[in-house]
Amino acid sequence: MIQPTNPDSAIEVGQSQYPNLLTVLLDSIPSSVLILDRSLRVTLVSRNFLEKGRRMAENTLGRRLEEVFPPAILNYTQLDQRARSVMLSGRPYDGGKMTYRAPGVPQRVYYYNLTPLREDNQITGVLLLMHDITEQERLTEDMRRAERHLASVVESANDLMVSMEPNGRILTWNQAAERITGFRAAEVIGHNLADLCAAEQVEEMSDLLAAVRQSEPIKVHEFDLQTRPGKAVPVAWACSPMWDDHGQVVALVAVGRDLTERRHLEAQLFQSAKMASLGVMAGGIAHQLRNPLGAASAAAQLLLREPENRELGRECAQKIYEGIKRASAIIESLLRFARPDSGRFYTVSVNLVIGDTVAMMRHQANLNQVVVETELNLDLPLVYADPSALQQAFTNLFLNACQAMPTGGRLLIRTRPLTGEPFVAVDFIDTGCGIPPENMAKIFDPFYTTRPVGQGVGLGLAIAYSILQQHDGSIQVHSTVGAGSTFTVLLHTALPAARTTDTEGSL
Amino acid sequence: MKASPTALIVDDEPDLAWALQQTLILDGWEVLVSHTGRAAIGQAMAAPVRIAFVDVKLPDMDGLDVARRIAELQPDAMVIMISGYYYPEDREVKEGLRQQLFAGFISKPFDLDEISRLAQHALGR
Repeated sequence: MIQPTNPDSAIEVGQSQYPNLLTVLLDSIPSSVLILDRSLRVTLVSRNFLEKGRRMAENTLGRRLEEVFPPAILNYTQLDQRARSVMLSGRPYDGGKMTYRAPGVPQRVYYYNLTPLREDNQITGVLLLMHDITEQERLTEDMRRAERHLASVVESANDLMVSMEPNGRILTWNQAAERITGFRAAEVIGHNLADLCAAEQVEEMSDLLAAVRQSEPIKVHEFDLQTRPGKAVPVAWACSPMWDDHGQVVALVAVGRDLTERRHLEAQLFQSAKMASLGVMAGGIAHQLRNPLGAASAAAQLLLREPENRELGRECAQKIYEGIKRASAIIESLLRFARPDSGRFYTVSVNLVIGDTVAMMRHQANLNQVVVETELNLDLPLVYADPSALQQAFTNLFLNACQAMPTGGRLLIRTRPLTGEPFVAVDFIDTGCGIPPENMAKIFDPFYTTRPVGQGVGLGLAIAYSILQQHDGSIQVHSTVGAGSTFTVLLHTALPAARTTDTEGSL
Repeated sequence: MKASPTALIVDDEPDLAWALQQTLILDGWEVLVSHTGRAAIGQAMAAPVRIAFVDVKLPDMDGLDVARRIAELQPDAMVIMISGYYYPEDREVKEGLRQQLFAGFISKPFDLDEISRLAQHALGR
């Protein structure tokens, strides 16, 4: 500390025991200290101030404030006026920020305050204390920048990003979530994410969030999200817990991908593959139609030939009627198959879907000299499914079995409930060529086919697989080369509630 | 009284077989009906057949094999293939006719007049 030859009264306090106390104190504080007298001349200055300001004691002590600080700073902080007002009022000034740049050093930021100094109830001076907060300022600014950056990462993301309290109440809702759902953040914050899911999935989403809260490992799940226009958007959700330093779950994070576009492309692919498999089946379908048409046509001609034979005529009319009915049924099942998947899920009897599939495909099997047998379990629980998609999956498995038996064979289709598990199993058991182990991994790959070019594009099993994935189901294969293959489809049973209430759309 | 000539119908489609049968009966034929290839071969072994109508696709055997067996068993029989799958202009059909694997081909649905005409022709052979 540099002090004038005429020491201040305050210094005398410490002189009794520790003559240098004030000097030691002031020099050890990492702050700048100035004492100004009534005419705002510097009467005491700490070494810290001189070092930071690149000044000498000689041109500081005894100088007026405006000689020590550059005019720009005085102007900006009104330091001289504030000091004067502290002197007059006796009330301390509790601080402001000051940016100060001494010649030859980088700019620094100070936080300063002014304290009146009294002597015999008379204010004789002002203490100016300047804390260097450059580092704090920089850290704060860095932190703000990092926060802004993170926020813009979240906001610029194409995926929905939602954070929630552990109970599922929404805390943040990014722009993608606003764009995709049409709901502004302010509208949904405080609501439970589960409540924004499609009505029939609210409970499932709640269960999922509860599992995340327990830090259970969670796969990506698909839930439809309600939108402002009242539609549902398919979203694949990846949920994770957010822990604090003590390992407590303090929040939940859900990142969701809008599957609309993907669903659209999948639907297009399914539809074109369906048309391709219709091409494969066309011969069989034509044959199937030409039989009842042939019978009806022959019976009609017979009727024309023998108008007087009433007994024969009656029988002919019956045959004509039956032939037309059969032809209509074939056309109807064909149209039902060709129709794009509705994407609507109902409670569905797997036995009925198998029945439809077999009715449509039996002739295809006959052409291949494949004998089709069914063993349908009559106590089979219902499943929750898109019936047209399910029929496509079964049709593809049926066709695959026929193709595995080019010289004929036997196809057994069996439905059974899994004991003790909420699943329905459908087995397609063929006596075909079997699948060599080295091909096993490839059979569900799109465009993988063992048939010659032009006789199939290799999408049948890939599409069956994809349809079952969408149904949260699965396909397993067991195969022995030369003996045959068994494809087993597993489908979740419908919830008991859905089984009783949602019968309107069931098959 | 001279016994009626015998026609054999091999088709797994019962109504179609019935209509063919009625037509031929009205034309004065004795008619045998089989719904499988194996049954047809059995019938061709047992009785002289003048004409056979054989569906190309049968549940148990290839219709062409059945036709060949009938022709072996009944060399005088005229074998006509019928099909809801092939058309007369198909390569397989033309080739079969050229190689005389069968004497005629009819696609479903067909004209009964055509059936009667072929049956008449078989009698004249």
